[in-house]
Amino acid sequence: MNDLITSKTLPLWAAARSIYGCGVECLSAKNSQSLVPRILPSGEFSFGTSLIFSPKSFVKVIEGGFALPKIRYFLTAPTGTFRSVINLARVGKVYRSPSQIKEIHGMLNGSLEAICCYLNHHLVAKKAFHDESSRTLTFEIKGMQRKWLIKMDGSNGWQVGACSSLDRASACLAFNDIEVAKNAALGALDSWLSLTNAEIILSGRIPLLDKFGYVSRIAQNEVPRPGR
Amino acid sequence: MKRIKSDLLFQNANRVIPTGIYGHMAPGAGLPLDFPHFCSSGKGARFTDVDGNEWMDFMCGFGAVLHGYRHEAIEQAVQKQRELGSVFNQPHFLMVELAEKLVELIDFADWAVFAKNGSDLTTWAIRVAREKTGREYIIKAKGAYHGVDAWCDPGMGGRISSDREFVLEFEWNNLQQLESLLVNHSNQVAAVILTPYHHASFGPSELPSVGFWKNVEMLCKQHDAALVLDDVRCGWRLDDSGSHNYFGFCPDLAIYSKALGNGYAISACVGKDKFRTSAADVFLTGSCWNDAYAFSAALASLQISRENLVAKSVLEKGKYFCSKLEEVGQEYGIKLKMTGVPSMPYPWIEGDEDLYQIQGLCKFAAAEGLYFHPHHNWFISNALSYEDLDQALFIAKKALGKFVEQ
Ligand SMILES: Cc1ncc(COP(=O)(O)O)c(C=O)c1O
Repeated sequence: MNDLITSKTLPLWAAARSIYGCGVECLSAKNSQSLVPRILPSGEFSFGTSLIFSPKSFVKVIEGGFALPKIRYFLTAPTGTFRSVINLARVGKVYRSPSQIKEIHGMLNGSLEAICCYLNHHLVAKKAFHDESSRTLTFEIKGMQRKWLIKMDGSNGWQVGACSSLDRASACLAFNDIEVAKNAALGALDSWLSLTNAEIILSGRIPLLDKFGYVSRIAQNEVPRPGR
Repeated sequence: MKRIKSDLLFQNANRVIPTGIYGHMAPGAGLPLDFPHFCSSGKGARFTDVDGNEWMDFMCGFGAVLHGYRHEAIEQAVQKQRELGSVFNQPHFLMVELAEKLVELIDFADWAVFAKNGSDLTTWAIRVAREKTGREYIIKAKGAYHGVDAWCDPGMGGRISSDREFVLEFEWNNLQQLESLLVNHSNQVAAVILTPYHHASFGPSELPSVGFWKNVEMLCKQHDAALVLDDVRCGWRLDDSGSHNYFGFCPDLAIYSKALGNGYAISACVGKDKFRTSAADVFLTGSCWNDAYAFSAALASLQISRENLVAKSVLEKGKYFCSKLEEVGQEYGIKLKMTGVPSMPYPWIEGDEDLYQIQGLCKFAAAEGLYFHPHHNWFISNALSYEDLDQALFIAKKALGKFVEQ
């Protein structure tokens, strides 16, 4: 599949992974499985087993806030497709207005998934992280157990996963509270200001976070999201 | 430390300046919650931030100040020049005086040129080497900083793939690697550009190993590559006549800035005669580069350095301070090692690869008014007296105690 991820398809691939990443946190295991994304050799994007979008319609779906346009997809409607559609709509709702903690976690996980796609496939990002494969990054929300770890996982490339609160990574980004994490995930945080008013606290190997920040800004610029 | 105005100012800055403060002084590069964002005044080895907090300084404007803030003799020289003017249609005659001074002071220098920043002239110097040799490649040490230009800056934005097409890197002190690069690019390397010792940020400084410089000099000669010394940061902190003397070698071209003007913007490149024609052929100018205030500051600064043996003085003060600070660390079971040369030491804690401990230590020091940077080498100001250093050690001990307790 790697061959199918090009500079042209990367933004949508990252969006698809982000949707899945969000679903993993917000939905049951079975439901999130219905959102496992793939790029097909035809250049189309699929979720689960049979929900398929052309790149153009996928962008429309995302930008329209996941309000699926009159759906042809499940006219031929196997139940798998139906489940994917429902779950996509559920994630879409989270994207538009995350409120519960697990939804904010979902948004965060989704964002990190998207950034990992860039770390693995974007030329500049890959180059920047070339020397960093032995290093790890954690993301946490102060006062919460849940922590995210980004690390290089062999041929799978950079992956985001859970980690224990005892794990100490090469660098750590901590959100001061859940609201800050939410705004960050929505792309509504001024990262420079946040650093000086303690909304975001960086520690550890700062150059690694600098690079990560750079890649995340590229991703934020390119990956379509609802309302853009 | 109180920090209200600093934060408010940063909010304003962030509205009108991308990232609020950029480069190595950006909040993210240091300790944004513990350091001030903006300063208001300074005198000697102390400065005051916009909230009125007084700090004991161990960064010297990231090296731009050697004799202390607002050094009287330098301020007087600049004041005298202020009555005459700074920039004219032709250079002020002080430019010639300063060039003569540098040529007299620096043993291998036959000529000098001036600009405003270190980067202006590190980039210009490699172009002079290219002009002289007709070759394209430049060799530098991995992780070394030589300025803001695309061939060497540490950032990520605004690059195109050709920016570094002709820049090769080797690990500091690895002569074998350097030789391989020269052999593999035979007759293609214009220059090897190096700092006197390796003082990269975010890691311990590395001194040249025994024989390193003599071998680099020899390899450059063998391969007809110019040896360019980037003395921007070390200049006048290791030796009053150029840092090559401290390590016993002779470059072809050398660049100075930072301490040269003691806070007034000026940089200089000096070179051997054989590079004079090439220097003449690489275009060089800038809007305010012929700035007589900066020339007068540099002349005064050089004189103070010479008369007061300032490099020796900051080395000795640094040695005193570093050894005592390491002892304080030991008392608390912290394996603190002040690496590099003592006049600009980099604090490194054994086993602290990811910098959490040094960040913690500097945070507690900041709370006590000591500006210890966790990620960059420090600079010992010659305005620090031994009493100041003892005071700093006393405060550092308190800070370390709190850090260890936490
Ligand atoms: C070794 C070295 N070279 C070059 C430069 C660039 O100088 P400037 O910042 O004045 O352009 C610096 C600045 O920190 C430096 O430390």
